[in-house]
Amino acid sequence: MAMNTDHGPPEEDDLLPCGHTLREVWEAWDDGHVPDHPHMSRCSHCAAALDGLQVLDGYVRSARTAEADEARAAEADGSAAAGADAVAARVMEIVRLELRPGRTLPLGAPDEDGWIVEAAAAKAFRSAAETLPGVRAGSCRILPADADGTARRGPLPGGTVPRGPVSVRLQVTGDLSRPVPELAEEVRARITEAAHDDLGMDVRSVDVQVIDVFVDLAMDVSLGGSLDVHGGGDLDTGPGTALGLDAGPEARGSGSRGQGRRGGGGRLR
Amino acid sequence: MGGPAGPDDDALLVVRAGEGDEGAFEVLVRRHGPVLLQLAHRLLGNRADAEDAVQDSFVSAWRRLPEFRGESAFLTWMYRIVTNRCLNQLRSRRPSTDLDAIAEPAAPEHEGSPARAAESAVALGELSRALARLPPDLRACWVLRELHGLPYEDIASVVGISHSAVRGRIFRVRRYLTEAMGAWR
Repeated sequence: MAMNTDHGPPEEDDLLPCGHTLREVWEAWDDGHVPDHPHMSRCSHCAAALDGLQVLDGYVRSARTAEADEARAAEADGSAAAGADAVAARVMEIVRLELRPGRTLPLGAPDEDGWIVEAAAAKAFRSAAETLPGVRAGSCRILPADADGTARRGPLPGGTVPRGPVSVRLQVTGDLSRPVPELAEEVRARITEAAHDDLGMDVRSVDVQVIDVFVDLAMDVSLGGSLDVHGGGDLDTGPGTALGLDAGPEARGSGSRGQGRRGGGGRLR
Repeated sequence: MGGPAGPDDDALLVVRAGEGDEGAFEVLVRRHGPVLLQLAHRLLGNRADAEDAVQDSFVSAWRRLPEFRGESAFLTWMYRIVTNRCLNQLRSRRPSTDLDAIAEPAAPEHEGSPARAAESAVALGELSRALARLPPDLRACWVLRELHGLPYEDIASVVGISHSAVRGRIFRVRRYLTEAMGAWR
């Protein structure tokens, strides 16, 4: 059996007396073309070739049913869930023990010498954002910032952000319960609050990117592609934000221009 | 937490996990673990090996997540990691143990007369043995297609061959299986 040639000359036994090959007929069947095919829909040789495939399909269906029955039984007696749970537990045990190189960020007053890893601070900010109904938080990056809040390039993973102000960049998805700029503003407020009250982190700027807006749980409409990108004055966030909706401060009023769904997260300084 | 659950939600969780959010990763592991275990079980033939393969695959995924760019869906990516791990394990097995290790599907108990049930059980056993005789990478394509219902494009990306090569493999397996099952027609 040749493993990697796919459209080579048909083997002799593949050629049906009507001139079509077994593969042609089976693939036409697969693609749903047989009923409309002028030849295959009438040809007895093609029909015979399909019989074989259908017998096989019958066995495969039975095998699937038998497997599903087995799976149901395993579910009923708890052994399937136990297996999957055990795997998940072992995976998470390993994952939690593993140190992933992350950045270390300054915390608290300069004389306190407090530090936090970026993943932990990001977790706190995501949770703060998700206290808002309909909001889900995605990427959260925390970068060193100038005094005016302009984000600078951070150190490589494993590095330490020097003591000083930082900038938070958070991506969220939300629903249509309020205009996007309002949503961004609410998220920003939660982040600022969490930074100040919970972490004690000197956050100078919060950059909220609303990357998707969902209509509701069952029928979500991704507006990512149709949203205008306004401004562009503060697209200093580097690569990886192409999906993001970076709106400069001047675009903050854009919600009134659209139908209350467009517009974006302006930056708050 | 509001918002949708599903593939869109997967993308968000994948980004978070890539940034070190273990909780987000755990949601993905619990969401997709069962179907991946099923795949590994089908490919390896026993539960214990399947659990090891899926565990190792998730741990490897966690380590590689920071580089995962989301060019495919998370589940498709996991299918690829699990399939490769299973195929590597099958290649390192001795062929003889491979043949015997494939589990036979249980006979469905509710179908018709005892005689027909017995006949159908024999047929299923035959199908299972015929599958076990296939080279693992051919079997993997067929399992992904017929038992997991993956489209050809996804199988191509999982197995790392072209779309038409996948179709070629599926055809060859079907032809082989119809011959192998000929006795039961």
